[in-house]
Amino acid sequence: MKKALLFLTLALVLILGACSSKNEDTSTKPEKEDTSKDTGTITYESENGPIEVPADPQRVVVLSTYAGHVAALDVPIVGVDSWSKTNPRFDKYLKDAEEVTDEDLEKIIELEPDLIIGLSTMNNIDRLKEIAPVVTFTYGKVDYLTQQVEIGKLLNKGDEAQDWVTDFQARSKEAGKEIKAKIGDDKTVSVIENFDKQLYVYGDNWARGTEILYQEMELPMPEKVKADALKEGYFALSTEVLPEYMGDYVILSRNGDGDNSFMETETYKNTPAVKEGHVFEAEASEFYFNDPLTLEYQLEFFKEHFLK
Amino acid sequence: MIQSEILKKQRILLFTFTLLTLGTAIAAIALGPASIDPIRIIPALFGNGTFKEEFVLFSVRLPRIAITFLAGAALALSGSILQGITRNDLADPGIIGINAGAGASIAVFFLFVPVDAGAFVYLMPIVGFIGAFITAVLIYLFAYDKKTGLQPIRLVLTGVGFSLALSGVMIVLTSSADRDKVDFIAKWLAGNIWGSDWPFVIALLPWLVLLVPFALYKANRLNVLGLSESVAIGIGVSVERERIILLLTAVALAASAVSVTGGIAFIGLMAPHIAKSLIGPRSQLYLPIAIILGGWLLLLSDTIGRNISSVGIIPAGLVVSLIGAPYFVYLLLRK
Amino acid sequence: MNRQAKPFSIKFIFSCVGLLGSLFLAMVLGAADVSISDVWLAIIGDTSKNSLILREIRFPRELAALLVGSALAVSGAIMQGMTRNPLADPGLLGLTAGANAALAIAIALVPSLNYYGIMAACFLGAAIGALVVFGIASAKRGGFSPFRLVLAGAAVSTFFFAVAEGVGIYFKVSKDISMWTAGGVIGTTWTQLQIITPVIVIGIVISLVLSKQLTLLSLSEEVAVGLGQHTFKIKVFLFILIIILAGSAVALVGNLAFVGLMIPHIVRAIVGTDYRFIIPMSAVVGGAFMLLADTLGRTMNAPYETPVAALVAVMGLPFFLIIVRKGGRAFL
Repeated sequence: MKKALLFLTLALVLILGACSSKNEDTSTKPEKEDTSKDTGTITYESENGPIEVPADPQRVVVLSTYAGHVAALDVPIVGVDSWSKTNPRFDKYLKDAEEVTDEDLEKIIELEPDLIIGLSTMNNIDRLKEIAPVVTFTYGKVDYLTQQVEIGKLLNKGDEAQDWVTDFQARSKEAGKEIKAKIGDDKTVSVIENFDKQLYVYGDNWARGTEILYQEMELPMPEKVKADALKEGYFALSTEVLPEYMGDYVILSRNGDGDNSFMETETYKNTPAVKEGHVFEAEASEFYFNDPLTLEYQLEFFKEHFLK
Repeated sequence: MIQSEILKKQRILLFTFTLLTLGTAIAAIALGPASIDPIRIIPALFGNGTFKEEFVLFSVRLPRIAITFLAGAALALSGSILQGITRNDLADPGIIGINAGAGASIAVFFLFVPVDAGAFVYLMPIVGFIGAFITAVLIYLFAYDKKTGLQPIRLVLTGVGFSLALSGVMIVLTSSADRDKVDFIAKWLAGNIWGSDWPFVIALLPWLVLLVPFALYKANRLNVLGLSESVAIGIGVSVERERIILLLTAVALAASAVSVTGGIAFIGLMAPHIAKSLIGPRSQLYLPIAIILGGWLLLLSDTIGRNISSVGIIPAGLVVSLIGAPYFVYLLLRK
Repeated sequence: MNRQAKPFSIKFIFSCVGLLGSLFLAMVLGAADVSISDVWLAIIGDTSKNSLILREIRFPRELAALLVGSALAVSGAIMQGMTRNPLADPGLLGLTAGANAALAIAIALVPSLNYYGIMAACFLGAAIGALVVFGIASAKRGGFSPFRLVLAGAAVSTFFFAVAEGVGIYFKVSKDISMWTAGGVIGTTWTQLQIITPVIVIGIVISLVLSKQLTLLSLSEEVAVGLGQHTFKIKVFLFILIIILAGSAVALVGNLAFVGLMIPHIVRAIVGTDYRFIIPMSAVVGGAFMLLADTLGRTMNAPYETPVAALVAVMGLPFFLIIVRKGGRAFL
């Protein structure tokens, strides 16, 4: 343990040295370099005011939503929520991470985290703060890319995050142009998911690739979707009206263990999108996020399917 | 008035159950996902532990033990009172719809009133109480008959109906909500001790400090109400008024407990029963035992639920139901 | 008897007309706009978009609603007659919860369970739930007060729901279970109906055959024995019928309380206490009721679906209260 700590400290010092000039630019200056302990900290300007967080966190616990954001910046995660844990695409980053909830204080303290990230609505925030610095975000308060920049700032990798965002936006827009050139400017796309026995259609900021399709690529959504789902973000519908909400192209985020009987019906099979093979099926457990890892995967998915 | 022998027996029983509770509490302190050497407990309790030991003990396990014990005690007392005033051995705040009332109001509040997380936590018990209170008033009104007064049997049946219908309402409410919130409500319903921090202990304590002595003070009235209506009136007890006062006490106790712990049934049924079978039906004798017993049962259930599975916490409410329902059936069969 | 039989046939025809009316309403109203002619076109096998929606989504689902309503109403009627208890209902007396628990265990053990498996689990669970509750009931000589029966049902239900939930959490299959227990008739397919329709129809037919015996039993045990009835044998038959009807209803729609309670009471108010009339009438009225309830659920907040189980629970409460206040008195 002591050895590991020593090594950690060494690594920290090195990285801090390398980063110190960058920190100046991002205006989040390291306030206290080191007081008694040897660990460096930075001050992150969170939603709820400044919070002192480690400059190079090595044991992060992510209690919801943001696991992919953190993993994308190569920051080690030791504890994570069940949704992220069951995403097969995160396996690489999360295989050693423990599955925890905001209730599992004991498990969390066992993990000895140095930073805890979660949603502002979670339980036990006060006690989690005793374990490690807690930073919470309100879901949807900033747009999906700014979110990554914020996480980047928090993890002292603001530039890296910003670079990725700029690059990703450019690539998405580029892909969008290609797609539009191929399928036509006016072709609509909708994103649909089944959960239990209910079907959902999504607006332009509800993960599952909606941000890329609508915000970056600016592909049009069907009028019906625009009317019902855009404001709330999501809209539950009956199988009967499903055809009205299906665009010329459909991304079907499919829950393998949900009720898929709607896919067997002629009603569904007779929609133009299905007939022409314009329904692209994705695995819901891999798709319902909007972090960089998933976004990259979604972008690839769209390129592959729209442009093949 | 009461024979000294039986008073002695009561004292012995009280002592035994207090010991049991303490034993379970020690087990509850020692057991959990975070490993703490049992030898370290004593030093940690006196402030000589590491940060981790002290955090686990003082911020996680001790408040949880306190809250489960208090909630269990409150539910037991509430059940005792309900059984007394309905003259029915099978009454329980969970079965007759008070839990469902508290649950529905909390669901409404949680879904439709935008408050930030911090404040929400403290409003919850109050909201739960309001919901339970309204439900109890409705149940009472429906069960009341101008000619015959309150029909205890009808009170319980009406409660069962209400609790079914309210669960229906909850389904309607939650089906349109987003999944995170539904998740929370589902956990609450299952009786997951979610309010396991000191503020909740502080929120729950005043109710008990006020209502336990009050109920004990009213013990004699409870005895009288347990007799038949005419006898009670004959002795000169204003039956209706006493009954309403006691009913309110029971509702307040149950609501304050379940709003913190989630939907927990059967404690209020089992504890008074076991107590009665040990020492007899006199309220003065069995109430104190029932209170301690209730606390112990919930503490035990939660400790089991916390440690039985590595997957996560099995809600205490489920554990209680699994133990309590067979006991309830046993009661039905024995009679 | 004869004097009653004649008005009954008229009443029965009226209620059948009511059922057809509800069926018609259920077909025409819904998230997708269809006209009367669409319904006709769909029946004669047209393949336009609206016809397809009707034939594939709305027909099977409404048929399911009808069947479930009938099955629950008939099983409720049998339970009430057999136990001489005005508050008997498959949802109240542990069958539904038993089926839930069995379903949960089945899904946990065999994740890729097919529909036959689901059904088998539901039957088994319903049987166990009912056996436990009735076992408690018959353990006492001279019948059981409805009040205690309801309480036993409530306790047993709580127990089985806890089992279902515990299994769900422990094996991480809550989501799969909830798909079966909370969906109503959404997404019913013809395949499911092919399996379940014969079961329910046969169940109802046998109930009709046994209805005379049930009437005797509902009067009193002594009368039934006095008239030469093999009470025990009949009871076993009736019990199996209840399980089959209620179990298949659960397999189709999940949890649905109050239907089996309400409908027989409404029917009794119309046709009296003879189960030869009550059973067929319950089947018809139950079917019509569920059709209307499901249509309401689909249209109230279209295209979003309000769960029909919740609607029924809310509508059922006033009814329950009335029985507790008025009708139940004689039995208590």
